[in-house]
Amino acid sequence: MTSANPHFCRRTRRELLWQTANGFGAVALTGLLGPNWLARQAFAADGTSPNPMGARPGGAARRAKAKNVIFLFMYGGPSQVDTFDYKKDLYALDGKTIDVPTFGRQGKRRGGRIVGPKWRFRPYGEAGKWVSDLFPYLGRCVDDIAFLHSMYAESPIHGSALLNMNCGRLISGHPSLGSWVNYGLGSPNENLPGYVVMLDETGGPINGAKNWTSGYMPASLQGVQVRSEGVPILDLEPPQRLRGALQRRFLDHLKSENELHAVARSANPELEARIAQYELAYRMQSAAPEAVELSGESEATRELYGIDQPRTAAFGRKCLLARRLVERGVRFIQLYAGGGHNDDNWDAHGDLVKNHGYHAGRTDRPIAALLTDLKQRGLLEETLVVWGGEFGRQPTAEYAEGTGRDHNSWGFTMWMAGGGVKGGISVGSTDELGAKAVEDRFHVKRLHATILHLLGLDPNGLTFFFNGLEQKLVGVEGAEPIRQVLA
Amino acid sequence: MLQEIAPSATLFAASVLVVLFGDAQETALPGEIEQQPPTWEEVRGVVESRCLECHGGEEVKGSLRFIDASTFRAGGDRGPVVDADELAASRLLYAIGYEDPELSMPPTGKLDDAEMALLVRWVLAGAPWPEGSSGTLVEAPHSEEAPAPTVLERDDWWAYLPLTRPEVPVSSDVVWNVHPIDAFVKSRLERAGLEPASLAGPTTLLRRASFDLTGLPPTPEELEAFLQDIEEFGFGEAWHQLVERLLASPHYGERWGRHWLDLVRYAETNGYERDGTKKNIWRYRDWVIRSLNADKPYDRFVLEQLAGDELVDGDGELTAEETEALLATGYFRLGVWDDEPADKEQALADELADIVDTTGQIFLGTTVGCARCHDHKADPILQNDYYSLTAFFNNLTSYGGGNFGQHLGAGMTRALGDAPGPYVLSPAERKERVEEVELELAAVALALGVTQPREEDGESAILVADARAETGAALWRYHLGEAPEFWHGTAFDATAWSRGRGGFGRSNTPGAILGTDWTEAQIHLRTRFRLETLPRTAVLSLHHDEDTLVFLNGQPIAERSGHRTDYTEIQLGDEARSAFVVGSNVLAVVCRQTGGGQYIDAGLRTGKAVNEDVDWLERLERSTGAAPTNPDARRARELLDRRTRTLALPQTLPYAALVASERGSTPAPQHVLLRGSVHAPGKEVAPDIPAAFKHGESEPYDLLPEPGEKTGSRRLALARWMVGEGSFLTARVMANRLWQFHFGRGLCRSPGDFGRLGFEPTHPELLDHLAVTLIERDWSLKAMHRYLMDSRAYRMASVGNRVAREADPGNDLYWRYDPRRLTAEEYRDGVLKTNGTLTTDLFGPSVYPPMEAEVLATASRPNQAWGRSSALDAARRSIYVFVKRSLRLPLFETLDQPDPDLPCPVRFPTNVPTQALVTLNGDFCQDAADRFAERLRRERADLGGQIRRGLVLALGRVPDSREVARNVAFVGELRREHDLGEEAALRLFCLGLYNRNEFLWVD
Repeated sequence: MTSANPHFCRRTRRELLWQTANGFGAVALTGLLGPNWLARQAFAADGTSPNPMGARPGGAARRAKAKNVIFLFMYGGPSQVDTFDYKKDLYALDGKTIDVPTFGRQGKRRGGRIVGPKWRFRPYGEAGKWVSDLFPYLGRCVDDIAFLHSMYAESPIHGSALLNMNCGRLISGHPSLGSWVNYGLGSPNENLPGYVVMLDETGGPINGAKNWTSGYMPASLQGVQVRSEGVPILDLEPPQRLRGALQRRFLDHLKSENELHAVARSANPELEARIAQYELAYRMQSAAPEAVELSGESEATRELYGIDQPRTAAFGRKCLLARRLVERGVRFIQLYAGGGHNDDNWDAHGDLVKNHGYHAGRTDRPIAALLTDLKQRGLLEETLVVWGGEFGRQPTAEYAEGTGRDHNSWGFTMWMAGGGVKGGISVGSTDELGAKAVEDRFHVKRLHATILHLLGLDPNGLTFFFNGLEQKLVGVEGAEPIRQVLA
Repeated sequence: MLQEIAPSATLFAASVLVVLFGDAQETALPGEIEQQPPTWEEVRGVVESRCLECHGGEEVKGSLRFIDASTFRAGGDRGPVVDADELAASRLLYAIGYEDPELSMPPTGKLDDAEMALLVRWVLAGAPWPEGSSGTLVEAPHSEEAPAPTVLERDDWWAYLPLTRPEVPVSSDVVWNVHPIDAFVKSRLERAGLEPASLAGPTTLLRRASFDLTGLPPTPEELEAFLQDIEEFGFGEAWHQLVERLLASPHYGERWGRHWLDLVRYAETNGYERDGTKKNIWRYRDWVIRSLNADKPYDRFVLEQLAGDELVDGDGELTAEETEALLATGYFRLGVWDDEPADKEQALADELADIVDTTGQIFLGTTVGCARCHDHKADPILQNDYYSLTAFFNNLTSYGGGNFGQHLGAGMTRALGDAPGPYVLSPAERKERVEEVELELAAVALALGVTQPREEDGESAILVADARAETGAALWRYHLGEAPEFWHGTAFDATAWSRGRGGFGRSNTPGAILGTDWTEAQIHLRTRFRLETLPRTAVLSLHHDEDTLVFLNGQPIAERSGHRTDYTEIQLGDEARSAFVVGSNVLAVVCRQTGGGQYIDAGLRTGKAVNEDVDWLERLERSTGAAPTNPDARRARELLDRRTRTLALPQTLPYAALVASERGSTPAPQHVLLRGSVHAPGKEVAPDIPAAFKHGESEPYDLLPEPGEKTGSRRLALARWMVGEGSFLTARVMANRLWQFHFGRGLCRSPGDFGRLGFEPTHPELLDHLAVTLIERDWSLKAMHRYLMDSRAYRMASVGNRVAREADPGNDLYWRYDPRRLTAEEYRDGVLKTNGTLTTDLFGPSVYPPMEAEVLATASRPNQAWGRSSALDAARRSIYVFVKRSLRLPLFETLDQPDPDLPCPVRFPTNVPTQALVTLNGDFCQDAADRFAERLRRERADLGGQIRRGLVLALGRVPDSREVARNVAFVGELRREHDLGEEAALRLFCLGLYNRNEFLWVD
C-alpha cells in the first residue's frame, strides 16, 4: 500500500503536481476548473490538494458499466414492509404486542404493537418478485431491478442519516456522493453542470445544502439545483434588459476589454480561462433551457411519465428531465421525492396509509416510466438508477394508536437498476418482522462502493487528500461493492 | 445467566450450526469444521472489527475484555465466554447466534455467515488465543499497515526543530540586501540563476496593499493622495504612510479577521436538522476583529481563545480585559453540533475531538486528528499523545451540557458587557439615541397618516390574561435576580416564588397597567394554564421594558429587545405552537432592565393577532412599502433602519455570550479511545504534550485545580506551552500564515500541516527568520505586516521574465508576486464600496442580505430559512453576513467561500461558468450596477466624466484617454443601436466593470 509510506506519497503528489502543471491532459476536473487548475493546487496544497492519481479511475483498469447515476431519493424513509420487503406473516400480527428491539427517533425500545403491512403484495415478472400494491407500475419493472433488502445505516435520525446516505458520514462537512463522482470522472458536457439536484416543490430536505455539498473539495464540485419549471438554474436567465443582441454586444465588449487586460499578463493563464467561462455561461443559457424543455417530447412519452395527470405531473416531469440530462451527459442527478418536514415526505409517523399512499402515488408511475424509457432508448445499460431513503421504518407502531411507524436504520430496502446491475434479483434479508437486516447486511458504504465500482472507479482508491488523510467516500476502513448485484 | 442457559446449550450450539450451514453447503461442511480451525489472523480480524469496539478497552461492556489471552480467558461479569468442557455450549456462540434478544452480539447486527462460521470453527477448536504481542489487540490494526513511526525525543523534521535565528545570506545585489526578507529571496533566486521581477508601479501597489490589509479597493481620492505623497515625500515615505494608514483602519480587522474565521470554522448555526442558531456567537467574531485592530499580541490572542476563562480572576467585577478573554472562548462553541445524535456518548466524544483536531491544526499546524484512531502514520503523534492532548480539554462543558435537544447546556452562556468604545453604547446612550429617532419618526408618521388605533378580533379564548383583560390579569409566580437552570420548564417547582398579578413594573412606564411593583434589575415570571386540545392558532401579547425572553414549556418562543410604549401582539408560528401540550402548560417570561421606566406583562390567547404584531412603528414600516418613492416614506424607512440598528448595537450592559466553562473542579479521567470509539476506553492518560514536541525539561501537565477552585488551568497550561516552549511550532505556523495571506501561498504550502504529509517550506530559513522575528517583536502582527510589506519581494510586479517563468512555473522561488483573484467577500465588499452603498459600521448582530427565492426553496422551511435586514444592513461588509451552515449566499458559495464545517487553511479558487452567471445576471450585481450608475451620474455631469470616474473607482487606476473614448463609444453604441436611455446604457457599462478580470484580480 503506497499511501502508507508518507515519503513516497508526498513526493509523488508533488511531482505529479509539477508534471501536470505542464501539458496537463483530460483528467477529470480540468473541464470545469480551467487549464491551470492543478497548478493552483500548489497554492491550495496545504494537504488539501486532491491526489490526481485518485482523480482517475483508480486501481485496477476496468471498464465502467455505468456512465451516469440517477439517485431517486425517497426522503423521509419509506417503510420496507409496506413496499418491497414482503413479510407475509406480519399481517396476522397486526395489533399484537411483540418483543422486538427497535431504535428510532423515540430512542431504543424493546418492543411494541405490530402494524401489519397496509397493502397487499403480489408477484411480478419472471422473477416472481413480491411488490406491494403501492407500486403497480414499478411492479412491472422488477426484472430490471436488484433489490437490496438488508441495508443498514448508522443513524435513525433524519439529519445525520441524510448525511450518512449522501456523504458517507454522520459528521457534517464531507463531500457528497455526486461530488465524488464528478471529482473522479469529470463531466463530458461543459455546458451543463455535472452534478444536478432536483428538489421537491415543498422544499429541500433538512440539512439543506449539506446534502449536496462538496465539503472540503472545490466549490465547483457541489450539486447545482435544476428546476423543472421556470428558469432551470439560478441566475441563468439574463434580466429583461440584457437579452438577445444586446447581451451579445455586451459580452463582446467585456471580452475585448478582458483580452486587452490579459495581453500584458500572459503569465496568468487563468485570466484567459475566466474569459472562456463567460462564453460557457452564454452557451449554458441556451443549453440548460433546451435540456429542460419538454415540449419536444412526444405525447406518448409525456403520458408514460404521467405528466398529464395532476398526481404524477410534478415528479413525472423531473423523471423525464433526468432522462434528458442523462442524454446530455450529466454525470450525477439526484431527485428528491418529498421535501420539507413531516408528511411532505415519506416520514410517516402519523397516518401511514395516507402518507405512503400519497408519496407512492405520485412517484410510482414516473419512476416506472423512467426505467422503461431509459430501457427502450438503450440508455438503461449505462445509467444506474438508485432508489431509496435515508433509512426505512419499523414494523411496530410509534404511538399507542394509529399506523405511524418510527424510523429504522437497522434494516431497510433500497434498489438499483441498470448501469451494470443484475435485474430480477433480491439480495439480503431482514428478520421475519422486517425489523433488522440479518442476512448479507449491507452498510450504506457498500451501496456507495457499488455505485463507484459500476462507474469504473475503485471505491478504495478514489481518494482526496485533506487534513492529513487520504479521505475516501467509503471511509478509511474502505468498503467492497455488493458483488451479488453486479451483472 | 450462564447457569440458566447451560442446560440447553448443547442443543443451542447445534441449532447455530444448522442455521449456519443448513443450506450453505459450499461454505463448509459440518464434518470439516473441526479439521480446519481458522488462523489467528482470521479470528483476530473478526474480533477486531466486530467485538473490540465494546470489548476492547479498560472499561468495557459487561467487564468482558478481548484484548489479550488472559483477559479473554477470564471472561466478564458472567464468567468465561468459552466453556472448555463443552465447547459447543460456550456462551460466545450463544451470543453470536442471535437467539436471545437479551444477549445478542454484536448488538449492531448479526455477524455475516462467513464471520460466524469462522468464530464457530475457532471456538469448537478450543478458541486458541496466542500469548504475547501477537495476541494483544489494544494496538489498532492500522498500525500493521504502516511502518511504526519512529518517535524520537527530538524529531529531526524541520517543523519540530528548535527555532534559531538563521544567518541572513548576502546576495550579489546590494539593493536586495537591505531587507533580510529580500536577501533570503534573492539569494535563493541567484542559486537557481533566476532574476526577480521589477517593482510594481504605485497604482498596482496601492490596490494590492488596500485589498491585502483591508479587503477593500482604494478610492480615487486615496489614489490621488498616494501619488501626491510619492511626489512630495518620495516613494519610501509615501509607502510607509500608506501601510500605517491601512493598518490603522478599522477595516483591517475585518479583513484579517476573515482569515481567522476560515481557520476556526466560524458559523452561526449548529448544522443538522434544526440548524439552530448559536446565540450571539457574533460576539466572538467581533472579538476577533477588535483584537486584530488593537494589535493584540498573537500569544495573548492564543491564550484568550484557548483559556480565556482560566485567565479570569474569580473575585469581584470583571475587568474589561477579563471580559474580552471570556468572549474569546466562544472559540469552543463554533463547531457543528448534532442535537439529536444516534449515539450520544460518541457524539460527546466527537464534539471534543472536533475541538482537539481544530486546535492542533490551526495553532500547531499539526494534523493531530490522524492519531485519534491509531498512531499518526507519518508524524510523531502517538494515539496516546492524542488523548493526552484531549485531556487538556475534556473538562469543557458540552454545547448541550451533556444533554441533547435545542437548549444550551449549563454554563454555556455568560452575561458579558462589551467594553465601552466608539461603537458600544451605555444603556442611557442607547435609550437617548432611540428616543431621538422615535421623536423624529413620530413626526414623519403623522405626515404619513399613521396613527395608533386598535381593532379587536372577536374569536379568541384567553389562555393567560394580560393586564388589559376585563377579567383581570393573570396571577404569576415571580422571582427577582438570578434563577436556577430550567426555571422555565414544566418540571420546575416554583411554589417558593412570590405571587403577584401582572403586569410588573413601575407605574410611570408608558402604556403600563400595574399589577405588582417591580423595581429590581431582573424578573422571572411563570404561570400555568390548562389545555383540553391543542390550539390551531395562538397569539402572544407582550409589553416590555426592556429585553425580554418568553418560553412556552421551556421552549423559547419570543425574544424582544429594548422597550415599548404599548402592548404588541405576536402570532405564534408552527414551531412555537409545537411547544403546546394537552394538560398543564407553563408560560415563562424573563425581563431585564437597565434604567428609566420598566414594565413587563404577557398574555396568551387563541385566535389571530390584531394586525399581526403591528404597532405604530411596524405599521409605519408597512406604509413606507406602499409608497416607496414618497420622500416622507423614504425618510421614515431610513429612521426605522437607524432605530433597529441602534437597538442592535453592542452595549456595555451585560448580555449573553457563548463561552467556555468547565464541568466541575475535578476533570473526569481521560482514556485512550480505541479506534476513536467512546465505547472502547483504553488506558488512562494525563494531559501532556506529545513527547516529540518537548525540547526542554517539560513538566507533565497534570494540573489539577486547588480544592474549591472553580476551574482547573489545564487549557491555560497548554496555551502557555504553545506560546512558550512550543513557540517553535506556534510561531512558525503563524509566521507562515502571515506570509501566505500577503503572498498568496505559504512558504510552507501546507499551512495546516507542517508534518511529513505536508510540504517542506520552499524557504525554510526565511520561515524561521520570520518566526523568530514574530517572537522578537512581541508577537505583534502589525509589526509583521510592516516588516513583510517593506520588502522588495512584496513590491515585485506580478509579471516576470520568460526565463524564470519557464524554469519555475509554480513561482516556487518568488521571482514575481503571484496575482490572485479576489475572495468572495472582497468581491462583494468591493462592489458595494465602488458604488458608494457600502455600510461601513463595525460589529453587532449579523445581517441578512436578500436571498433569491429559488435558493430559499432549497431549505426545508423556506419561509423561516433566512432573516430580513434593512437596506442599510444588507449593505454591510461580508464578514457581518449571517453564516448559516445549511444555507449560504450563492455569491459566496460560487466564489469559493469555504464550507464552514471544517477548518479551511487555504481556499480553493475555482473557475466555473456559474460564477459568470451570478456576476452577470444575479440580483446583487444587477442592483449594484444600477446604484453604481446612479452614483456616476450624481458625481459627473458628462458621459466622458462618468466613464472615467467609473473606471477609476472600479479599477483603482487612472484610465488613459483612449480607454475612456473606447468605453464612451460603447455606451454610445448601446444607446444608438439598442435604443437604450442614458442611464440604462451606463448601467450596463457598470455591470461590465463588475465582470472585468481587472476588477476581480489583484496584481
